[in-house]
Amino acid sequence: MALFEEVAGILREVVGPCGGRPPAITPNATLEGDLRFDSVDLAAVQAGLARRFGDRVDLPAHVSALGLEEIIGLTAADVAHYVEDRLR
Amino acid sequence: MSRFLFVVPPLAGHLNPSLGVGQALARAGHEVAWCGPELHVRPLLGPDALVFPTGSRLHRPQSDHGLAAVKSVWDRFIVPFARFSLPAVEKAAADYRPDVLVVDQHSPAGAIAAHRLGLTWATLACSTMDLGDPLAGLPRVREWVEGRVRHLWDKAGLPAEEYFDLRFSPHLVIASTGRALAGSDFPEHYALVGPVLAERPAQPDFPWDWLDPDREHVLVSMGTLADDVSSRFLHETVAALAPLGERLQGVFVAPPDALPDLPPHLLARARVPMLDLLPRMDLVVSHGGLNTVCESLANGVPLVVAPIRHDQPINANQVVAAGAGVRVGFARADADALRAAVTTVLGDPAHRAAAHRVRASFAEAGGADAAAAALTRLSAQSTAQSPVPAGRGGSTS
Repeated sequence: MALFEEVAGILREVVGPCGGRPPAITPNATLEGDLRFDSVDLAAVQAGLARRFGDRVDLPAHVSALGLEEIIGLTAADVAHYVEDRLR
Repeated sequence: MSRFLFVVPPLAGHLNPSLGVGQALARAGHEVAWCGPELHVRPLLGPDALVFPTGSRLHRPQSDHGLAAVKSVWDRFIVPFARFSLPAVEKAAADYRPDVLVVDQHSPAGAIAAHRLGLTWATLACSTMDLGDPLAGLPRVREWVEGRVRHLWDKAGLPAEEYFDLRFSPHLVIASTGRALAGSDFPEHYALVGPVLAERPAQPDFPWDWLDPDREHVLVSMGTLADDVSSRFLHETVAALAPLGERLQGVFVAPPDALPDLPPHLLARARVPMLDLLPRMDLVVSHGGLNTVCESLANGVPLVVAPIRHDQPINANQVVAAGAGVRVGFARADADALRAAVTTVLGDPAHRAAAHRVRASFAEAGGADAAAAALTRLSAQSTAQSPVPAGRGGSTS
């Protein structure tokens, strides 16, 4: 879960404090629905991921290959799994 | 003189541009009729307009965003409303026999009726959601949308070998945006005419004396569908503008009881006379609905755009690319970020200069009169080419 915590930290930085407290980034939190991501946020997360894990991680490219339901349902854990796959 | 039948959805943002084009055609001496939910269109059109009612279907206000909103606008509105209204639209087109059917891009029942009856038809795009190729970066999402259109074709029982995309007339596509925003990479039968402004009767009044000519003016308008989700954003914007009373006044398009205890330099009104107010504004804070964006820029007013859903993120990015404003996160921006965005745009003459360039380009595009002229040309061509519509039409009145 160390990797998940790192990814969650990057997500948390983009989401920022909501109502004065940092949001809970649970593994099941969906980016679009729960964390209210838009394309600008996705680009910001990618910048954070690339800084930490290098250019092999390209989250926007990964998302662009997904279907409608998969993007709507994309969770924080899915992002961590994707990063894990790319680092293998 | 020609006859035009407009097929319209029950969405305010689509009805106003349609009305503007219809008024321009009527001024030029043409006959205009309407097909749509009478409950929604009659108050805008007035008692004398010829309306073929489709009936109304409950359209639940949408509170989602992103791709969930794309999914729900197709699954819960465009597809069911098209299927529900198709018999009424076909009957209206068969009875009225227009020279041209003018079909709102998100009322594909009109395109089905036109094809079945062999009528010449034009698409009227009042949103940028399906203009150009905004889903180019999400090919599987684009396929999903195409699948919804195909589903409508099949359910209407049209022959598979004749399939074409119901969102795009092969004859003429009119869009209520301009090249300064949407670019110029469009086929020849596209007419990007800029904002289409309608004469709107019964405009609400406004306390004009309240406006202080020595201060700058900010209008905050988050749209007709967005009330349910805009509360947080509006309160953050109030907090952003609260310390700026020395330099500006702010008008919020919001029910006054939703924003109680405003400082004296801020004002909330449930409705405002938008087109009269915009020339007195220095900045518009908006969700990025196409009408608000284009009406602001048509007055040379730059924007802070906080997009929520549908075509709003596209419009926000186009405003930024044109240099006529900045984009902020609707779900994220707090008072500090919003104050920074507002003072940035007000303080940098480059944004206003860019907004003025867009205004000039819109003026050149011609608006409602250019749309009416394109439709008149299409009508003349179709009359010359096929005097008798070829379709298997129903009754005539």
